[in-house]
Amino acid sequence: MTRTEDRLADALGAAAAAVPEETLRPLVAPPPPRPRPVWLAPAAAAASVVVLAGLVTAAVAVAGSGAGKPAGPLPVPAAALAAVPTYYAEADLDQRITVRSTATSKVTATLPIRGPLPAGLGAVAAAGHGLFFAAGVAPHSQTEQLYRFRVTAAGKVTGLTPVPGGRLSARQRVDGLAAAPGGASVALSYSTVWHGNPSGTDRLIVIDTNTGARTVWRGGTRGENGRNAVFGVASMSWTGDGQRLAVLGQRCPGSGPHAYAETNIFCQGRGGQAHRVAEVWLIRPAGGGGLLSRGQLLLRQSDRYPYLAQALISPDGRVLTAMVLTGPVVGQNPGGDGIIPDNMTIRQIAVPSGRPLGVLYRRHLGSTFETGASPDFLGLTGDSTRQHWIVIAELGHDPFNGWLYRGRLVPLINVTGLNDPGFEAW
Amino acid sequence: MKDMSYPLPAAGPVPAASSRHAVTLLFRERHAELVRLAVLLLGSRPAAEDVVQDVFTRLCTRDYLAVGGNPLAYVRTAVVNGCRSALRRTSAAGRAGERQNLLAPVAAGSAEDEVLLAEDRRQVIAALQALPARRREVLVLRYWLGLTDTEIAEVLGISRATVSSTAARALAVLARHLGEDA
Repeated sequence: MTRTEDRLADALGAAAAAVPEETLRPLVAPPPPRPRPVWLAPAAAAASVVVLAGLVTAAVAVAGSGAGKPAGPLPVPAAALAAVPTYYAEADLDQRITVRSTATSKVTATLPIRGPLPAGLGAVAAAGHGLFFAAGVAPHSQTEQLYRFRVTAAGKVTGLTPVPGGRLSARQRVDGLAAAPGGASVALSYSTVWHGNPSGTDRLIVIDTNTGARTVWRGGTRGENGRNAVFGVASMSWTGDGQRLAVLGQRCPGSGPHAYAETNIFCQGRGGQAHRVAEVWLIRPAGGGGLLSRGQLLLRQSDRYPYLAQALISPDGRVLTAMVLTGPVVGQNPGGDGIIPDNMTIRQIAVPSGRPLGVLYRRHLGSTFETGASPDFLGLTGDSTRQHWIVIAELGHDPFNGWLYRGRLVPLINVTGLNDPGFEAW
Repeated sequence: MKDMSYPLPAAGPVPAASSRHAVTLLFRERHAELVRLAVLLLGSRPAAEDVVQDVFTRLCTRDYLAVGGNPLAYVRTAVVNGCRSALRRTSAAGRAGERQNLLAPVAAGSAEDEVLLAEDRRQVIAALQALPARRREVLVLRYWLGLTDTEIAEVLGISRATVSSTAARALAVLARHLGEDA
């Protein structure tokens, strides 16, 4: 072994030895499940045949439409590649914030700011024409700050500067960013950490990047039993005039102290489980802060759109491009495995009528034991024209990351690579 | 990227009592090892214990015996993946807390030796924690659990060649961090 290997083995052994077996928290076995009534078995078998038949049909349809799992490099005409942004910025699980080439996925620049520890993602957003914003921690700093930077035609970063009014407090952690076209305003969602634990509820700050003026927005509605609902921001997007902000918020109506509205299709609280509520609100940040319900309700989850994971507004404010999950919910216990529907579609929806306009992409997510559907796990990013889309799904056995081209996914990075993109912006 | 899931067997109607018993036995035997593995990957003992408890709970409600193959490798995979999911959830939920000091006081002879050794180990662990997740996993599995590259490949669901190249890159970065040749 080399000296490095020796030192590593020694340090790992020491670190492991610092966890004495006798001090471990005892494992708690769940109560044995109740045997199912005998009559349920044939019914379940019959139901599974129906479901399987449906899945086979769906799979054939997906394969036929060319929207299935990418089976290799997808030929993309040069003209199509020229139409999409040349570079995109990415914040990954290893705390890096980088700029990459859309065509090759190669890193062209790395920002000297990082996501916060431990394994914080940072966040990035694009304002168009090479202007980007990123939230991260500068060297020798403990708190997150909003920065702006430009990406040159060569993919290099210039002019990385702090945004006035963009410093967060030590307890605030950025969860998401959205920049208005041109970059005059940036919306930032954050959660607050108390005694090392996140509050579970997000708030929104909209920052005027010229003056540093802020408005603060809250989900703020009360849930069942008069308890405060836990509120999470899943996605944010601006209209083309930079005056209106669409916010996909997820509330957990019957929330208890450990509920996380943004990470489960079910909310877990003292009273058991409840379905989370997802709504898209359109607000005018210039009119001051307050409750999101001051704005216009564009879309609410419904039988037609049972699980809204992401929803981004078009420049004219009339169309939402949404990531919608449908189909059977895999798993049965809130907080357990695989409790999100496993059929994903990227679809466009007229608002506020809710009329479906078409499907851009569909994919079966496959067997998953992931409980999350927050932006870290399912991401939809549009360019400033909202004509081009990046999709990230980091769940299940078939994670993927790419941009959409004629109903197909053009991979952005090698999924067997070493980084975990959490946020992407272009 | 991307392991994000517990690769557990398909949910059976009700796990057989024998399956549940087998799970309990395995965890009784390997509890400390699994928690230590998670601690080395996560840098946090409470989070590590949560991950292992979670995996245990899930396995108890599934037909574990349907796993076949190598149950221990299977459980290790679940813990490694659980750690990555935990990292992601932590990020989403606020990236709370800080990495803990993983090292207990050392006994290395003189007080000066102890200080030097402790400092050396801290440097190594800090360099390890700074590595990308996959590289960290490969190194921990190889140099702490002592798995072969083939076994690591099985746990991580990647090829043996990828394990080898990942380990080589990780060691090179680690050596650079530590100011020596790999």
